[in-house]
Amino acid sequence: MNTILTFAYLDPGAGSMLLQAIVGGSAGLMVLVRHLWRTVRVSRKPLDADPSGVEA
Amino acid sequence: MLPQQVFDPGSFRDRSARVALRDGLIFRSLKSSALEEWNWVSSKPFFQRAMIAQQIVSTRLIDQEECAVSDSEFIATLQHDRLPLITWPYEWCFSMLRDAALLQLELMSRSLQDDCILKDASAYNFQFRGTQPVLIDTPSIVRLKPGTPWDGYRQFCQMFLYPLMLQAWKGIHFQPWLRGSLEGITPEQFSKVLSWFDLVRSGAMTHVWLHARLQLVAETSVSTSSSLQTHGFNKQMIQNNVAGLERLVSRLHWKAARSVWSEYDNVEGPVSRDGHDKEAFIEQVCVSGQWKTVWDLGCNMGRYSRIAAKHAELVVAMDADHLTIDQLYQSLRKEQNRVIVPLVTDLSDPSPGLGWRGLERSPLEQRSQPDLVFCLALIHHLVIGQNLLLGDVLRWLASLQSTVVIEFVDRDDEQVRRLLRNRSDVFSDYNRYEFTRLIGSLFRVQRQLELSSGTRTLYLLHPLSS
Repeated sequence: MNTILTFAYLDPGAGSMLLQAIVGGSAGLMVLVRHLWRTVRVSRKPLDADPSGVEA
Repeated sequence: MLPQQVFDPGSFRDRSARVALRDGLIFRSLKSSALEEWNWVSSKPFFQRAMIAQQIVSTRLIDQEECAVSDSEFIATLQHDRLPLITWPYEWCFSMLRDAALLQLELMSRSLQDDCILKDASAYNFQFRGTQPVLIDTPSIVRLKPGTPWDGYRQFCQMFLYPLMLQAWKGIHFQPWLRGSLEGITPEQFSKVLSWFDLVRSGAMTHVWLHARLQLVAETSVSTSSSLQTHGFNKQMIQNNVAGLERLVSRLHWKAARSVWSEYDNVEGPVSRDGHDKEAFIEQVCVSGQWKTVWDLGCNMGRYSRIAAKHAELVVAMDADHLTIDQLYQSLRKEQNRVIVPLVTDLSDPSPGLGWRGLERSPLEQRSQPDLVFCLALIHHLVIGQNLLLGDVLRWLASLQSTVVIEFVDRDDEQVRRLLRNRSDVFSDYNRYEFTRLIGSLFRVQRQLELSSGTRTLYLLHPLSS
């Protein structure tokens, strides 16, 4: 897939959602850490990942 | 049953709540999901208080039979109070955009207390009643889904925060940027505008730099929204963000000291000498009729707009100079003026039709029909300064089908000599003979007054058809 097509499928709101956790205070930072940890786990074990919340 | 509504061509993005115009009235047709939200939100105390304070446009549910639509999915209809003028954010000055931003945040903060939220943050959701911003998109307020972030945060940055930062930090006028892109300025674009020095400014590192870069981190196979919800995102985090944005926006100030036009009324010469005669002439014209809408073209600090405001329902005060309009808006806001709407408007390059099919954001002439127009000490700037044809300018004024008060400034006036100082004089059409010939063919000249400077004349013109 070329670069243009890759960016065409980006969700423009995803980065904004993560930033809201950062500016939301210390509890928000913990939410962000847990989200990023889950992201890493899903990316390493895509077949074992919990299907809920995983995009097709 | 009344004739079918016609949906506003700019109202299609929210498919469940579309605006329709009929007989000069504003309706909003609702699908069942939007009706459910309306019933919930409109019962909340914050909503009632905001509507009483006129921060939200006055809105009521009306009998569906009064407003039939062909699409059976629309099961209910709201009626909004009609505001005297619709304007677009690229016509606003810095302080207008900032006031609209602060109202958006105030409504966000109050709605969250009642478990509601403004789902989007488009600057086009706001209009001005004089100098008071008003939210007109009532369906943008919905129930808060627990655990989900604010969907409108990115839009708020693009349409409010970055344009304000651009003006306040860099001194770059935001209007061409908003006119160039109806979605505003993206975090990725704006982060490239900032210097390293700018990054130490409050909010720059998070709301701009990090905002732009997090998009790359966010590209994963995991749904960000549902993941944040699962991991404990809550309402307090949105409230913290909104409170921080309120502090940030309220500290943004545009500190331009002066522009070419900001001290125009204070200069010596024909401008000040003729001022009292012009005021008396304008006052006489204003009291001579019933005026619904007055356009003051090249309004400067609104000296004549204020006279018209005593006799008209709406005065649209237009000037191409951003700082002048900003200063006028600030002084009108102190007076709590609800009649004069100041707009940054370059008549040689006015707002075009923009958006989908060029119909979403219409030109000013399609949004407002004046019955009285002031064109005072302006025509020499349009013809000599902007290189427009005298005949074209007068034909455009005649096309408005309005009464016109126009000031002709002779070639030997010192301001015209200043305009010609560094230009080759190719403006052979700009002379009194040609001017009087043209107005004689395009208007009925009712009255003229030689001003005491001896180089300027006021004319009261009526359309030929009247």
